[in-house]
Amino acid sequence: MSNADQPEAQTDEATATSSVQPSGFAQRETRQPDRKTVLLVTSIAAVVTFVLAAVFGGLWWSASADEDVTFVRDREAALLAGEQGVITLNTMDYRNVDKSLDDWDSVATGYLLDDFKQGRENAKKILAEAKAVSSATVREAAVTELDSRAGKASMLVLIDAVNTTEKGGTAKGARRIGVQLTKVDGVWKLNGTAPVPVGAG
Amino acid sequence: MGVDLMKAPAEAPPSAEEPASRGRFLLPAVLAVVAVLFAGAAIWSFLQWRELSSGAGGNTALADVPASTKVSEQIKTGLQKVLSYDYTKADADAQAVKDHLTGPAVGQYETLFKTIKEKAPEQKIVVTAEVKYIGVQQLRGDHAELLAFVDQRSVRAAEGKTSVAPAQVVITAQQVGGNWKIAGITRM
Repeated sequence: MSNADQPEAQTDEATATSSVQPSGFAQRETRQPDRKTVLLVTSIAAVVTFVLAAVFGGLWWSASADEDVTFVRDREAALLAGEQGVITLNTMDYRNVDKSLDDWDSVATGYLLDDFKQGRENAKKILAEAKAVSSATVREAAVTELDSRAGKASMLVLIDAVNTTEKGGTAKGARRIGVQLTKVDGVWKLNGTAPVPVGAG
Repeated sequence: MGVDLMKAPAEAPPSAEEPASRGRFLLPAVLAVVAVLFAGAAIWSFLQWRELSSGAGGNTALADVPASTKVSEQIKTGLQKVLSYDYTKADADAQAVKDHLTGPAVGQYETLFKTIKEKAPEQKIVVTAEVKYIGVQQLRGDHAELLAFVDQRSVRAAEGKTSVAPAQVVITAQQVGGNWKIAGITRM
């Protein structure tokens, strides 16, 4: 899967193929050069590898042309980006507010990013004064809508959040959040998040 | 001297053959190189293909639009009935609910139902569940897993109290005879 396997696998294949040659030449030293055998072996090798290349090339091509496969990849990418984005937006450390707010900006786009930029100074002040520290983990998530072509997605995320402020102490709780995502330059980013309220709506 | 004489004829033929044999093995050499190149192409294509198709893992949630819509709607309907309760028509409801359940969920529901049944008449409990959002996490053939955000509104008529509580559930679902049924409910 990873690119790291690849040179290794190729090297294996190369040594396996080249090992045919020394034995062929060894034969030539002892007996008369057996051109037919060498020709046969290399022909078979060429044909077999051609067929393999054609088969896997065909599979690769059909997979990349398969909308279902690309859709599913997009869905998984959106899910992962949404989960990580929600974690980021629920992570704060007043001792390093700038870093936390930079992280928020890095996962946001559209209106959400505009909001963050406009409210940055204010948020910084409030978070520093409250001595806010928070973290979150995702318990469950599901993509509810995905338009691959438009690069839009919606999802549900259930998180466990831990929030600490100097006055309020530590509060733990499950939170259900609705997330809107937009694909920007091939990367899914959050352009809206809202808690799913209990009752009204 | 004799040794030299012995050697000379032995060495002569190969050196004479040298250019000819180089030509004779040109085609096999080319074929070997071609084979190596094809092998490289095959490995590369295989890795690309595996990378592309591994993400899918057979989960067709949302990708299969009609099936995803069907499972969401049927499970939503079933879940609202399962998580609702009306003391005035408890038995009729319980019968209706069973149509939406299968496997272990039937037992789960009966256990839950038993405890509510004891308290409900005197407290006059009516619970109405509303599925606010539901999303398909996994869809593989006749099996599915869904996440639902639910509100349960409870009215205790005897005390005149109304309350709304959130419920987050993961549902495992199974399609039986063309209809999706709840096989398990886990409160998160």
